Amino acid sequence: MKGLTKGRHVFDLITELSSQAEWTENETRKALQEEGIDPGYLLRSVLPGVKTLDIEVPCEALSTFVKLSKSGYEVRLSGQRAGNLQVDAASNREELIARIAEVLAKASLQELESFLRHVEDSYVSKGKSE
Amino acid sequence: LKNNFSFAKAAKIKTSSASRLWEVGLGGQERDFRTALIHLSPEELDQLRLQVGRYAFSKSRRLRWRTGSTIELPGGETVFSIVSKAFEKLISGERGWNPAEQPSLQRHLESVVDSLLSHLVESADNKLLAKLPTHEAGLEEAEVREWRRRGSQTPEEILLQKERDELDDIAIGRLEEACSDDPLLRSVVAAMRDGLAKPADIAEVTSHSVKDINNCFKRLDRKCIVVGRLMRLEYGIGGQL
Repeated sequence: MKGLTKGRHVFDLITELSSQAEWTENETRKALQEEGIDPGYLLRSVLPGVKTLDIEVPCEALSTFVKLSKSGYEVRLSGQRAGNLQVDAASNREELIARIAEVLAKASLQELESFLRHVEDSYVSKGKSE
Repeated sequence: LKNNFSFAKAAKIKTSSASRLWEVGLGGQERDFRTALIHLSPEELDQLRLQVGRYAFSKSRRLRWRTGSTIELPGGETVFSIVSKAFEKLISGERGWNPAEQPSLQRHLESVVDSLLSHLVESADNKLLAKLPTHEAGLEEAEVREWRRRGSQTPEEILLQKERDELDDIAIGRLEEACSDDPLLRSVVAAMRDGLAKPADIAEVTSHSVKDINNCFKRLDRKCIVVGRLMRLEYGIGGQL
């Protein structure tokens, strides 16, 4: 074994150089699955705390943030057009609907698609969790 | 929630379809790490989380964990929580990103993961052994000097390192076996054992392109998953591969 690089350095090198290589999403998912990790679970597990951090969207486009809670939906719309809104759907449903309608009326098709995708995701999740 | 951190894609922001989007378009001073994240589409943000997650699992495999698991870590942490913390530290600004120093947001997040794992592996909760004997307990002065000469390592730690080195050498044998059906992978492992550490150098001695060699590293990382599993079965070690 004399003269050869130690095994641990070889493994360290593999870890380092493999991380520098460009991975496609498919390769990444496969590698995680081989590791015994469900990529979907990873995506659901990582960042749950981030939603509590208030991050402003410094652009004109509509951004939505939909959170499910026991009392209903909390919808936060931000961006220059929408201003900021935070409504508990269970306590003030009319206001929520009115404000969403107001914002959506000004939105582009692309913005509407983003919004609907977001809401759909939340509904799908809610259905599964219940 | 299916996706707790899904910013709706801003319609007027041009995004790149390149998988390394987070490495481009960040030159403007007004674009800090938060806006960089916001500029990512949900799909691109998913990819970033998957990449950093894969990296964290790969790194965790190389470390020695008291828990005997490469996922469930000491201190009540998991690899998932470590990756999550890395993103939270980025967004809270605790580990803010400076693109001038590190152009890749992914690499920056990976360095935060490194730091978190490193702290955890050194934490008291990851110690396998009880308190060391002291000088007063009868240790010879020469032995104490020998400890000090070796830096911060204790005799137990030196013994453990020796054991780890032996296991790593056995694992290299397993890796070579796992690569037996792939001559290029075997050549790459052989080149690394000969001391080559740069893809360009390995590409030269194996007469392949750097791209081929980078692909080899991805395949080798996945082979390491299999070897790690074998080593855990044979030797009951948690982590280290």
